[in-house]
Amino acid sequence: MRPYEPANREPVVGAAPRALRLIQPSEPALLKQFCGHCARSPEIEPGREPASRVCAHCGLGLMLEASTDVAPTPEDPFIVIDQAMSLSAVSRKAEKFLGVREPAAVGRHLKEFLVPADTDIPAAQSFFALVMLAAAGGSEPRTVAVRPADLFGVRYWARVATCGPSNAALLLLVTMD
Amino acid sequence: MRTLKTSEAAAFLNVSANTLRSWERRFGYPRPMRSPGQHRLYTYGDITALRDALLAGLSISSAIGVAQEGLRSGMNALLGALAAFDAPAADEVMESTLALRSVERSVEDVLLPAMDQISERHGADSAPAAFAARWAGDWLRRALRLAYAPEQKASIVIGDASRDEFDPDAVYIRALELVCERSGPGPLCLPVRGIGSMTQAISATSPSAIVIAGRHASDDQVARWAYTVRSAAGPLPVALFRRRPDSERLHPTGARVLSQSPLAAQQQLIETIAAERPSGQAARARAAPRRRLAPVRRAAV
Repeated sequence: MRPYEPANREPVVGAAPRALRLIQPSEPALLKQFCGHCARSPEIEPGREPASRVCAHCGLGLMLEASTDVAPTPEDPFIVIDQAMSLSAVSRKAEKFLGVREPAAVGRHLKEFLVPADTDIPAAQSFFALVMLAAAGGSEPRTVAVRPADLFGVRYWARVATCGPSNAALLLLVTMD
Repeated sequence: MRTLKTSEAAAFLNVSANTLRSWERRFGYPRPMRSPGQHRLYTYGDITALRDALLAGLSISSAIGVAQEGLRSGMNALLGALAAFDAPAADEVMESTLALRSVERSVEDVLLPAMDQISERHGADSAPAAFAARWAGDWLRRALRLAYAPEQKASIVIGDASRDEFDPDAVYIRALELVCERSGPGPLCLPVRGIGSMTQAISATSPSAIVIAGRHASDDQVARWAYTVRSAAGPLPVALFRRRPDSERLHPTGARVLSQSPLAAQQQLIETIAAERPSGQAARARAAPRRRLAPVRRAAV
């Protein structure tokens, strides 16, 4: 089949040549897999599916996916919140960060561990609404200030994003230095 | 009921055997039974429930929670049948439970929690609790009659210190008896009220340990019974099952307080007997010619 060729046109005399603009086609965000407990990525050959969802390194977490720019590293403390706003996974670093072990924390409500650092109501609503939206799978990554539920004077940045499967909110905790 | 060895269960879940054992340590699930050679045996139902939960879960903890929820549904069904005084329905629940789990796990995960719940909701002296206690006692005795008892090297004497068959402890004692009957040590359950002709019973069984189970009988009554047993059998280790573990009077005796769970208590008994066997036999050999033993202290139990 012959490629499409525009009809020859007479060039406009005296007009400046038009610049061509390169348009990048929109690409889906790249996803990265990580363990929900130790945050390490699976070592699999490219193009092959991992054999199991259970992390081969620690054996204590399931493989989750998140956008590459928010996926945690093994040094990052993070928690995973389901659509009922309950903790579904607590990373090894977050266990130390929050002072709680994962088996004891899973199933408990997020507000038992973290609350918005700003005490005004709109901020509180926005934090929990943001988590709920992320857990439903539909929000851009956002960063909010939070504090432990039983502690004043300690504040963290919480980067809220979507992870899965199934859809859940990923809260990446960062200290405010 | 189908069971899987550790390697089979690990292959089924696509994890290593070490991972499976680490889940047992960290999360307490899946909880295996033990073969006569003390190897782990996983229930097929547990493993399939866990596999399905892992496919949709966000963490091992949450997947285990989902899998255990399935176990609790059996308990709730039994609770409903007992609260409705429907013995055939309760039998049906236990039958369906046995399709997925071993007898021991069915008793521990379904029957005993349902009995606890019914006592908690209606009171231990209520009509539903009495009906449930009678039904559970019958069910456990039936299971005990049908239990295949492998050749057991050790045996124990259980001193039943419960009030009667309606005592909440009685169901636990029957459950311990059943668990021991099925995988050792072979039990001989006698009420602590009767001490006549004890020598005959002891010489017939040669027990390796004494278990005193139940809270109803007084310390004096229990001490008298334990003294009679030890007079006949020698200085055996004493263990307490569901008998006032918070009592300060227990401390001087050295009696081991067993877990409230019949399965865990059975494991502890096996450990106690194994630890005691060389020294205990030697002590009995030394004590035998004398035919006289130091009396058991009244405060012993």
